[in-house]
Amino acid sequence: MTSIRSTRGTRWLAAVLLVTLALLSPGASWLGARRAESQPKEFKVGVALSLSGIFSRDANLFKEVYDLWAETVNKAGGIKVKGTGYPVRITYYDDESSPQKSAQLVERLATADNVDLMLAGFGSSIAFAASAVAEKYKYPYISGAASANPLFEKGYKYFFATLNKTFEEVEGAARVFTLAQPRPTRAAVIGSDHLFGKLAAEGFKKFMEEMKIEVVHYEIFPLALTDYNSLLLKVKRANPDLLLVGGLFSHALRVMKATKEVDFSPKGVAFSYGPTVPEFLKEFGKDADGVIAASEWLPTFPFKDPIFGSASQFDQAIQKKYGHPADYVQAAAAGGLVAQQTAIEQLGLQPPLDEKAREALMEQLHKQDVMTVYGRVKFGPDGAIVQKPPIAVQIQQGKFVLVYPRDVSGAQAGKLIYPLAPWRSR
Amino acid sequence: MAVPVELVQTLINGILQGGVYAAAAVGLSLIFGVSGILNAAHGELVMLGAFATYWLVTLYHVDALLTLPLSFALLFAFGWALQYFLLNRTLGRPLLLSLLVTFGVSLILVNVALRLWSGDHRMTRIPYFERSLILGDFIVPLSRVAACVVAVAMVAGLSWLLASTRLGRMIRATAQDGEMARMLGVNPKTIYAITFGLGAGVSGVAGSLVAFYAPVEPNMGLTYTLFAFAVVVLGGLGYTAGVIWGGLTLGVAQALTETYLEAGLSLFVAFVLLYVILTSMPAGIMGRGRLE
Repeated sequence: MTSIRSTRGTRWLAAVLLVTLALLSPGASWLGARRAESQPKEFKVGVALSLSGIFSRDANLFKEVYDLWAETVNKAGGIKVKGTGYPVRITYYDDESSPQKSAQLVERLATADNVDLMLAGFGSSIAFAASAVAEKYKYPYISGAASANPLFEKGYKYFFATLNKTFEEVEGAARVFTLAQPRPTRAAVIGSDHLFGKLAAEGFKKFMEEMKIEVVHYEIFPLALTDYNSLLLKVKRANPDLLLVGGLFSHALRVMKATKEVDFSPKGVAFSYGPTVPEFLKEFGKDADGVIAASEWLPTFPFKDPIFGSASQFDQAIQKKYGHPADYVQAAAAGGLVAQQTAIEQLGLQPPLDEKAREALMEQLHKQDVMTVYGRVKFGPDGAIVQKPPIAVQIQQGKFVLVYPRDVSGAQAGKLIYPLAPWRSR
Repeated sequence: MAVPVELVQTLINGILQGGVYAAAAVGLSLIFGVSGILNAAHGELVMLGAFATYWLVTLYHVDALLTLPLSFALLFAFGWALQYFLLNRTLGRPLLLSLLVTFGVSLILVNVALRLWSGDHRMTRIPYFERSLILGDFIVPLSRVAACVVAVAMVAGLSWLLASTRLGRMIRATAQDGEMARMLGVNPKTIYAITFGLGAGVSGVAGSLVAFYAPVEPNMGLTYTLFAFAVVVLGGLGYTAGVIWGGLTLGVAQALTETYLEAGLSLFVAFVLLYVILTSMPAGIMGRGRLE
């Protein structure tokens, strides 16, 4: 016991370690999360969200919608139950993009914070872990960005998702190439190595095969890949007409950059997710023209609800508050929020919500069929949304244009740009 | 003749990536070699350097290449202060303590960076680096060439500084025998602080080079800590110039894996390589590392 003695230096080190420990504590956002446990008559809402780590850019889109929802609802006097308005208050914890941590934090929200409602984290990997805990404590968990098919095969009653299942989600971005002239015959499919990325890649592959387009290269790459150029060069050598990528925003960013660096100009490029994140356009400017993304919503769609107003009003509200257009996962999250709030109002549930109340809420969510800013929200028995038409959008002169299918609830598709100009002439 | 083209192109990719690995690892090697500190916050120094370049280019429109000396200066000052005020207190204590303290520092740096800059992935826009040189069948991205050339020059410069200057002799003397150096009028604590400053500075420059072609974000450091450890072990612990060999070996091995096997195996190959070298050549590929 001689190496660490109670000297001044050791105390110094102890202080440093203490600060470290504090910052390490689950959800370092404790700094900002002020509690007012004793305040009665409000809905305590909890969410474990990836505020840092690999999904943080994507998850921040959720935080924007959750904050907008709380602000809108509270401004209107709160959630109206039997004539009384109950404001909502959201507690955020940072799961650091770790599914295990997300599960721990959901448990903490359920058992220590005793929240009334749980909002969902971003992404299938997170939802996979967190939804199991939400199920255990009987909290409806409605995600606007969890679509991996296996999520719906677990027999959960409390898990809901407003996006189409992953396979269907990329269908539009694959089928859009049936409109391409000259007809593409060869495709390369790559996907990042996590639940959504892999499933999206599998979905792309499946639809290409159905469309009789040969998949000349198929590969899943690791999240920690540092050199995308070697991967994209290999894809280039396979000489595909199309490049289809399963993954999230950061992967879309790296793949786009690498295609330019290795001078690989496929005639068509589609991503399962990424280009609709506002930063994508900011990063690539006119280089992004012609890129196709899977989507499920556009602000031009003729949907509305009593909370957020019309789709275009929702888009404007996001634009005004955060300075960028609304992404489709934001609309999907909003759809889930509206569905949950409608169910609470219909059932007349007053806070605090006990287990029985939450069970009733779950049953109502399974039963009801509501129109929201995101479109119709009706859940099937497995918690998946009754399928929406999968759509594809293309970036054309810095704007997202619907290119597939030809008509979505009255919104008409624009003309597909194909083939794309080679990098050297852009 | 398709196979040799692909092979040569793969080697080019591997060498370019290896150069950056070497740059990212040389600071770690220098600091360990001189003060025996295993710096777990190493990747975060790379991250800070990357952010320095990103902000200087984005906010102040400084030329990307001119950010390199600025990044070095900022990180040198930070590293010097870190060693002088904090890490000098761990000298002479078990290795585990310095590892713990630097791990703590890494957590603080990541969380402070997240608070300040959020977890966004940010791309530095450097128009003149976005194209590639096309030499016949071969494609050489300019940003990577610049990164690799600067990296190799930096490692060479550092080796020269250690071998041929008065400061280098003082650093080497302190590394060999701190007590003896003190008796000859060298203050080891100052030398350790300067060494850590140099190590942090070159790590910052490595980060700046990464920012030339890859997105910058607060959590990027861990990857570079891991790769830097691997490179230092491959090159030989404590043998600074060995990082060039370690970096190139790792870069080329990964590129070959990505091209001829699959990208998913590249990390696996890196660590298998590390295991093989550790067991069969513990003093590194060149056999000049320190064995303890």
